[in-house]
Amino acid sequence: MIGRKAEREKEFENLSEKYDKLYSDYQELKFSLREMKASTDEIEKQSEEIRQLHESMRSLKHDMKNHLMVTLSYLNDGDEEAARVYISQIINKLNAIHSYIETGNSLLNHILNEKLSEARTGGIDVKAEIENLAFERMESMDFSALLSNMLDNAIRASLLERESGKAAEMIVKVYKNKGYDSIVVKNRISESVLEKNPELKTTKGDSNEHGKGVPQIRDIAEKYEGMCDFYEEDGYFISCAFIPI
Amino acid sequence: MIRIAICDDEKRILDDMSKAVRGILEEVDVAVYLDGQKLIRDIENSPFDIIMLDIDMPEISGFSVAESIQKMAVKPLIIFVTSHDELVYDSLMLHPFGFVRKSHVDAELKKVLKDAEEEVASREKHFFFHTASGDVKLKLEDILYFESEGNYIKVITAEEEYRFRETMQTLEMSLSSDGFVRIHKGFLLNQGSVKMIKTDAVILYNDVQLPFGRSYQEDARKKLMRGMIR
Repeated sequence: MIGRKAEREKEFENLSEKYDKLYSDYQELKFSLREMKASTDEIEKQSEEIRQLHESMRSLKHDMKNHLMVTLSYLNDGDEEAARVYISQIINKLNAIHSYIETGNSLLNHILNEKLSEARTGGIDVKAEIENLAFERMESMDFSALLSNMLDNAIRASLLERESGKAAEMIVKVYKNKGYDSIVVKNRISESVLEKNPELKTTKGDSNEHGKGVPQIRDIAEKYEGMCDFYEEDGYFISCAFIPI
Repeated sequence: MIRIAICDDEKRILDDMSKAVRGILEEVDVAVYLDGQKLIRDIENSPFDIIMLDIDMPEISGFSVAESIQKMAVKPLIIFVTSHDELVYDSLMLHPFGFVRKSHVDAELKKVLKDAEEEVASREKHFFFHTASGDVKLKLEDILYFESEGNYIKVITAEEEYRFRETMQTLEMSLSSDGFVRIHKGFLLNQGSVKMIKTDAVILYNDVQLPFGRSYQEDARKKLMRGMIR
């Protein structure tokens, strides 16, 4: 009897070991499946973005031909002024068309292109200076939350500037410096944000939500032993995050 | 006199740009190039302080020109000029000093050139002091840091050490606008000599590590960090 019990116990042990292994394999597979799904979605999104870009390039080429013909006819008529006005209209129109930012880091591409196009649609002048960094140490979720929050804050504040009839401008920089992967987002402000709200707290019912996401930005920077800062300089609100490489 | 080279394959833009540059900087010597290859050949013999590069050029792109320049001993400040709103560059290339959009030249050129002028001038700034063995004149950019030692201050450069009588406080006051940051009761650091900022210390380009003083840490880290943003 006793021998039998020991045998059973052994068997049970083996089985639970097997079960543990299978379970952990199952978890891993589940995780990679989720990752694959996410990356498939990502690729689909990107190819859609690229398709749209091709489409707009095609129509642009067509438009350009028309524009040149119109300009030529003005010049043939000797109406230089009309040609000049027409050309500056085209330039303004061209300034509103933007190329797809391609950095080699698909997550960075996706967030930048989506957010910057959102900003431009809202009438914000956006200047971006991007080094193709991998942000290797960061989990995708954290990187995405960090960059999106920083951009969202600047977009939200800039749209408020627009609403009050002022020119809105954003500058986005991603670059490597002094052992850090850095993200710097600046937005033009007509009055100080920090004077009214030095802690950048979100206040319920307050339409000025510059502080939304600030605690999250701080948490993520801290998680990776990085630094972040929010300050004002030369008429800009500046938020920056530095993640050690 | 600041020496600037402008490189663009469009003659008209070259003319407009050099006119704009002369309107912004008073003492300036402008050389223009239609071709990047010629610029690269010329740099060897006539060094420039600032180089403005168009990115989209037919023979050799502005990026390639910048990469070639980066391999040389002289290190001019590079400003890219583009017709795009985005500048996307490879990690292998040095972070450029600035970038100007052709559609926003009026607003952006002035700021970046003024900043560049200041940067070039700071490279020429000197620090004078009197030691037991005579007067010393050092380039500010060659000083790694100052260290207090009783009533004396030690000046540390990559090659040498000097000692002179002064207080840290006076030194900090006179040099804070030149990029020197007090990181510790006993250390006044040249921001330009920092290779890496850690939580509790900084590492310099010569791999010396200096600690943050507890009461200086937060402020100093903030200053160093903001100094990294242009």
